[in-house]
This record gives sequence, C-alpha cells and structure tokens, in this order.
Amino acid sequence: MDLEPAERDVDTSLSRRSLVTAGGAAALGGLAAALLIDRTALAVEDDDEGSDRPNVPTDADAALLQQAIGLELAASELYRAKLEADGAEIVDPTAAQDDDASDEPITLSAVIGVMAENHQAFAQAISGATGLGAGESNADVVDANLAGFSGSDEEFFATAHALEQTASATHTALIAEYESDDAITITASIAITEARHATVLADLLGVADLGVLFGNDASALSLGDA
Amino acid sequence: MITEPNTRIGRRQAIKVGGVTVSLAALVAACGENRGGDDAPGRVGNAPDVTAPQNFDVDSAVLLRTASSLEYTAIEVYETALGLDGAIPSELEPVVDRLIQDHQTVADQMVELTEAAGGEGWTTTNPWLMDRLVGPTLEKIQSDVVGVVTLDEDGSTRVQVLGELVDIAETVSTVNGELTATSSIDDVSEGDEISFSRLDGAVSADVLAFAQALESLATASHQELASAAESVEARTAHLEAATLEARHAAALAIAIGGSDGFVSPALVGREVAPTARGQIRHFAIESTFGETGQIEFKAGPGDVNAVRESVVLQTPAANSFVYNELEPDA
Repeated sequence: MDLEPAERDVDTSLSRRSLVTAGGAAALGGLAAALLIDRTALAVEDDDEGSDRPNVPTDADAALLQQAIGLELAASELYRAKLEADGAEIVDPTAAQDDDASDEPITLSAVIGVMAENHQAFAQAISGATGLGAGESNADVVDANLAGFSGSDEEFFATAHALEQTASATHTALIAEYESDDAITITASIAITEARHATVLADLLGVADLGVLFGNDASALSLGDA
Repeated sequence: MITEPNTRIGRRQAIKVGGVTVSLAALVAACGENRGGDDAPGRVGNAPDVTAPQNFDVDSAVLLRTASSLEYTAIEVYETALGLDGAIPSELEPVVDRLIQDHQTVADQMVELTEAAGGEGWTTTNPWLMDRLVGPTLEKIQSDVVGVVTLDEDGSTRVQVLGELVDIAETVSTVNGELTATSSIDDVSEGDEISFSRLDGAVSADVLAFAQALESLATASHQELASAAESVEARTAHLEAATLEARHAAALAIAIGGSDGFVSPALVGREVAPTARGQIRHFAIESTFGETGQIEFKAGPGDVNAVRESVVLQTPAANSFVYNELEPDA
C-alpha cells in the first residue's frame, strides 16, 4: 500500500495560540451545546411508534441556525461597542477576584459585559451543536443598532431592550420552523435568557408599564429570507 | 520493665490468619438457611414510605394538562399571598394582579391545546404540588419562631432563639431584629418552648422568594415542554409561556434585590452569598442559558440554631404529571 505524503494545504497563518483559542472556543461551544441538549425527562415516550424528529439539525435547520449565529454575534458586537465607548472591559469570570470586590455592587459595565458574553456563548453553542462555523455577525443588525448602542445611557437601554425583544421574538418564531430536537432545545434556552436580559434593560430604562415589562410586541427578524 | 509490642506476626502470618477468617465466614454463610429476606434497600430513621409513581401513559395531553396545572398552582399561590396580611408589599399588588392575569391567559391556552390534542383540559391546581410543596411551604412561611428555654451558667433561665441566647421577655432583640412573644413567658422552665412572631418583613420576604422560585420553575417547565411537545402549536406556546414567565421571574428578582438582583455574581466570577437572614439569592440573569435544574430557596423562620429549611422545586416528572386518568376532584 502506497502512502502519499500529506499535502501542506492547511492555513499556516494560524499560530499555535490562535489554534488553541479557536479550539477552546469550539470545545466550549460543544460543551455548552452538550449540556443544553441533555434529553428532557418530559419527553413523550417514544419507545414504540416514536417521534420521527431527528436529533441533530437537518440541512434546513442549519440554514436557519447559521442566521441565528449571525444575530447573536451582532448582539455581542454591539454590547462590546458600548463597553468600548465607555472605556470599560468585560470581567473575566474565571480570573481570581479581589476578596474586597465581592462586597461591591456589580457595575453597569459588568452587567453589559455579561450580556455581551451571553450572546457570544449562544453563537458558540449553536455552532457547537451544528458543526457550523462561527461565521460573521449580521451586519444589518449591527448597522441598524450601532448608533443607539453608542448614544446616551437612555438611548442604549432603549435600543438594547428593543434588540433583546426582537432576538427573543425571532427565536420564538424560528422554533416553529425547526425539525430537530437539538435546534429546538438550544433555541428555547437562548430565547429565555434574552427575555431576562430584556427585563433588566426595561428596569434600567425605567419602564413602569407592565404590558411593556412583561410583553413582547417586537417583530421577529426574517432570517430565513437572508 | 518496658514491655515491647509483639512484633513477631509477620506479613505472611497476617495473610494466613486473615485467609482463615474469611474462609470460615464463607463456610458459615454457605451453611446458613433462610438467607432470603427483604430485597428492598435498607432504611434508617422514620422517613415516610416511598410512594411509587403512577404507571399511566404520558402523552401530549398529559404534558399540557400538567402545564395548565402549574399555571393554576401559581394563581393559587398569588391569591393566597394577597390574602395574607402584609405578605405582598402594597406597591407590588398591581404587579401580582398582572402575574395572575398572565398565568390565567397561559392556563387557558394550555387547556385549549389539551383539547386540541384530544385530552380533557385541566382547570385546577396540580394536586401533587399543592400537597407536597405549596401547602407545607405556605405553612412554614406563616409559622412562628420557636425558642427553647435554657439554663444559663449562673442558673438563670434564658431563651435560645435564632441562634442567640437572650433574656426572656415579651419582646426580645436579636441581631436581625426584634421578636415579640406569641405564647406565655410566665412560669417557663428549662426545655419549654416560647413562640415569637417572625422578624419584621420576614413573611413578605419569604413569599416573594417563593413567588420568584415558582416563576423560575414555570419557566423551566415550559422550556422542557417546548422540547417535548409534539405539535408545532404547543411548542411555540410553551416557548412563549417560558419567555413570559422568565420575565416575571426576572422582575421579581429585581423587586427583591434592586439593582443587585440584575446579574448573578457567579457570572462575573464572584461568590453568591446568602442574605443576612440566610435566604438564597436569585437573580434576573442567573445563568447564560435557560436552566432546568432544581430551584432552591428558604422558607420559614430559623430554628433555635438559626438554621432555615430549604424548599426545592423541580420540573414536573412522573409523580407530578397530571395523567389523563386523574380527575380534578380526586
């Protein structure tokens, strides 16, 4: 049997460190996805006839999920732009904290940082579950919201609240389209956290109308058409 | 004279002695009779008997009936809380009214979907949750603080309450506030119990913690149900309910903790310390993804050592499903 030497066709511009970083992000995304896709105890018994729903995302799911990744990356990018404009940085939760810091209130920048990181984690989880590349952020979403995210705190709260409501509504609309268990499970867990983000932002915005606080009249983005 | 320990039993001899012992034990065991007996795992203490879960089928209608039962249970808790004097701060009463209205809307939708799935809509509380969780928790929350009369070192009687030893009086002071006796303090002797009213605001704090945990439970339950639902209509309805109830849970976390209730310190690498009164803290944004694990909070006063009981909420499973065979008045 002849063994041909492997061709050197890999992108050698990736340094070892960036490979470790990329590998780590992919592994974390995969881990998050694996944790999310733990089969629920509530599953209707499927021992005989069985649910004909596939576990892993179908091609149709993957096309939608790729768009969802773009939305999540755009949201993360916008929060990071806000932090940059404020001269703040994201707190690394794995770094050892100063003992004195535990008694201090969590700053608004830290709250924004958590939201940025959460959206990044959503994109990674979808990527891990589907095997899709992380891709790029949705430029339209960034362009439409950047001014609001870069404005005053009030403009930021209002724009960010609207974005979280839209993101939650988009995932809720998409869940009806998905064919696989994994796509459904991940989407549900993301939409719920985005609803929680929206509630915090509504409180920061000073929303007193309970219909606005608990409701969501935002329209879903038509990601499937993209 | 110093006697030295006998060091003449070597390792080889020890193995021989051990081997003989094991062989004899095996021989005795083999010759024994009536070696059957109860196959059930051993039980220690006075724990209640284990109740075997019902062995009924679980179909879409059962999951939807369970979902509507959760909504009615939440409504029951809020209506009971509104009836308790001071349990809901007046500024939160409109919020609670809105929560009741939202839960009723979701319940109606779940009933409609149950009927569409060929089942009979469930329009009352979840019997298992009411018996095992809601009833006992509300009872704990409304129960008095109990102190025990103790003899001090100088022979005088004092009362140990919430982890402190204080002088017996109608009103006693603790680090967390004053307690007023609700039972007689006259002629008490060592070992007697004295009841006190709960600390100022303690009932309200527990009720809000219970409500917040219940909203998180409803969120987690609908999250699981969205994955389990067979019809697209039910799947979407469960996710809409989950996001609505996640908003409820987040708003209550903020109502309890103010801006400190926005984000769990764990998400920025800090420890999550309990409150001064030992309550477990929950947050509007508690984790990166929607979680379906158990939810824990404290209910009721601390015991004489200031230890408070935990209540653990879990998403519906075999023992709390509302099976098609169950009747509302059963």
